[in-house]
Amino acid sequence: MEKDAMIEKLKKIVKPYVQNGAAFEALTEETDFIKDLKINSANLVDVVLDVEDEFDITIDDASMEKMLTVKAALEIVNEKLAQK
Amino acid sequence: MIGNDIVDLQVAKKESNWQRRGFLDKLFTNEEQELIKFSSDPFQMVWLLWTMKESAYKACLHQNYNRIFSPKSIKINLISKCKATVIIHNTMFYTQSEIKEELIHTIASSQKEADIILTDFFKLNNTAYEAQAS
Repeated sequence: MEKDAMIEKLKKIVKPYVQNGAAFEALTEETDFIKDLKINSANLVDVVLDVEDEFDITIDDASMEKMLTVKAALEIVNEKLAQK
Repeated sequence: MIGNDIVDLQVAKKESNWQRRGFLDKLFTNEEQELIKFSSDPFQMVWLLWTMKESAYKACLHQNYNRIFSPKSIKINLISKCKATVIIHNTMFYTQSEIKEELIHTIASSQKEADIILTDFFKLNNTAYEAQAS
């Protein structure tokens, strides 16, 4: 899947949990879910679960621990898709 | 090292579904999930345990602990309803919680002797992340 398409899918997933709309509009690969988008940490697990559902992958604990930024999320999704 | 976390239970009810498939598995160890399962108020137990983990994590962040999202590696040993020891990154914290009808507040301290004083605090008008994060 193309990176832009993946970022769009990811944006759709995180949108309901975002508490900083301006940062969301300006989202880039470097965007941090908690620091920039102000997603609360309990909702970060919802993002992880939604990503699993959307891409039909399983994100193990070791991967989840890195999932703090858009870039890390993309890397994890790509890695898990490649393993399928 | 001290950390602090507050969960507004009305907000938690609205913004999180703890009964969602996979939710507890990703956040809590098997032992912690047992505590939730056998609690008379599982919803309250979820957020009590969560504030314990968060307060210890925040205490570690003050020590330049690398940010990671690994709630299960933070392990809680409940001593009483409102007291626990929490181990994170090989460091032990002592937590003390206050459970009110509308919120749960937990303070974590690396020092056992330090009397953790849960002072009366005002309910934040702004429940946004910034207000809670300080």
